Amino acid sequence: MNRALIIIVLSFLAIQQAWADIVVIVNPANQDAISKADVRRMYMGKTSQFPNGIKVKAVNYDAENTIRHAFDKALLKRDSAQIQALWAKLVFTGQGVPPNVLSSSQEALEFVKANPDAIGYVSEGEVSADVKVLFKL
Amino acid sequence: MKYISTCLLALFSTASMASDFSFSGFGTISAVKTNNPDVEFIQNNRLPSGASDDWEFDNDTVLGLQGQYKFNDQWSAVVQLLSRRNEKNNFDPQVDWAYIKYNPEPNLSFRLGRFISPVFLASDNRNVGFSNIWVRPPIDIYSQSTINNIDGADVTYRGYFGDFDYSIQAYVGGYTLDFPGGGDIEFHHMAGLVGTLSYDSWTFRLAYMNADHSNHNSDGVVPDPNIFMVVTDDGLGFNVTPDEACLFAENGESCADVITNLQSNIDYVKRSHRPFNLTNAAVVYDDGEYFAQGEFMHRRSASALSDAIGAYLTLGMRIGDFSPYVSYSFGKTLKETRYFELTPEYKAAVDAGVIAAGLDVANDYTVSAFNFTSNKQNTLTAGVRYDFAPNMALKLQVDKFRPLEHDDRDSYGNGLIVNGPLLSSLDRNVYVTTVSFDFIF
Repeated sequence: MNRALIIIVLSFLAIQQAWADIVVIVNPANQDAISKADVRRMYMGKTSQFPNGIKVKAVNYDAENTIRHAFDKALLKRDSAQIQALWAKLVFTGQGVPPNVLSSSQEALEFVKANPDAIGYVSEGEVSADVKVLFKL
Repeated sequence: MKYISTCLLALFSTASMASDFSFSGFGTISAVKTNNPDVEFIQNNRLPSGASDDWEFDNDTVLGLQGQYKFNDQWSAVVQLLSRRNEKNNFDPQVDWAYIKYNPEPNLSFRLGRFISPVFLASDNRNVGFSNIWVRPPIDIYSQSTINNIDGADVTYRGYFGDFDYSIQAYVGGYTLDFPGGGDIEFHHMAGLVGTLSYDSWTFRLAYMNADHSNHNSDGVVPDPNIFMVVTDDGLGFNVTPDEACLFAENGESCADVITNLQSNIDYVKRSHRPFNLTNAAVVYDDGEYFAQGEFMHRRSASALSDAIGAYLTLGMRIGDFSPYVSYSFGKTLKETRYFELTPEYKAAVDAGVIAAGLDVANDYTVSAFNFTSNKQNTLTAGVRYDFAPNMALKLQVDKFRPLEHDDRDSYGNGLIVNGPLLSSLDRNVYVTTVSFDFIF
């Protein structure tokens, strides 16, 4: 195998990696048992609380972000465009407030670290010890 | 209204300084035309004019601005201003939503103020084109019952058990809806219940609204209807007015003396404090790739405005950023039959008169069908939505409207203003083509 091909294959793997390994994170103080279905509800506007009844502060990325695309596809089983349309309905009919949009994983980590009632997601490689990983997608 | 606007502006200006204020909006720019110079399409029945065979931009075009202020985790306020062409033929912004919301716990909320009566699946987001697959919700249902605001209160509870999510909403209130030419429909009370259940790719929704309404003319009154009593098999008969001398009666006796239930028939037909009860059932399937959505509605309006039913089914799929869809819908009124009761002497006398004239006596004397509205139509729709950017979509939709004869009467069809011959008698379709650009911000 020549060198160029190896690089192409490796970079392809790296892209796969970035898409595949998303971890959902909460504050280390959060001891609630939270399932994938619970998180799906939070990001699709069907609930605004953790199973224990505490109000959720969810964070998200804008709809052009690639990790957002991967998260929407992997957990919500939807394109980001569909999720945008869903939230448009909820927001303009007063049925929900969408997750806070942050511009980077770093901000998401900081936010989840600082807020005991926060939830978010980052690439597995970016996760720090200041947050608790709920599960990997 | 001015007072409300002023208050809202004050709220905006103080609130915008705080971090708990959020501002968002939505809009649609659409171009619509029909294939017939004598037929104007209107996307809702409050529009004084529509799009004919030239492109018009003022049918679905809308701009909405929403300000939301969060006082704390329990209390928030929302104001939504909506600019779309109205019954006065201008785009003056209206307060479409304005409420205070109280969340004693995250999944329980109370609202007080103005919102939209959620009678159908897409009633409350019908103006947010971006949130819907079509350019507008199917006319055959959504024009059968004017969808409108409600000033009142509601409570919503959301929850789940196992893999089922559900929500229950109850609301009460009232509203007066103005129409072109100065008349209005006043909803004296509206009370409704909405239940939604979802599981996996499925969503089921049932809604019922109990309301009563009056239809005022431009002088603010509900005029007494002219009631026609059919006495022969082929529809001949008499105009019957309670206070006036009855044509077929002797000694100038009034019709009320002769027809024992005349007043109750008039009260039935006259749209004053009559029902406006809507029942709606909806099913949605959406697995991300394929989607299907259907709704059925029944209107109990028991008056000159006949009861009606309507339904649609939309099927579609997603291919990358494109979502092609097809839809079939129909709507029709249900026939009303009301009987007259005459005193036995006069029943015998009128029967004898009809026979003497060489005509066939009707089995029962009925309130003429023409005292009740009648229409029937169906629509075939094909379109495609293109999500070309995260917060923007382009849509192209073609509707084939088919007004049909109904109960031996011609009809014009809902959503169409006809300046020519009756469409059902022409045996022709009306094609409506729409291009729309929807966005949110």
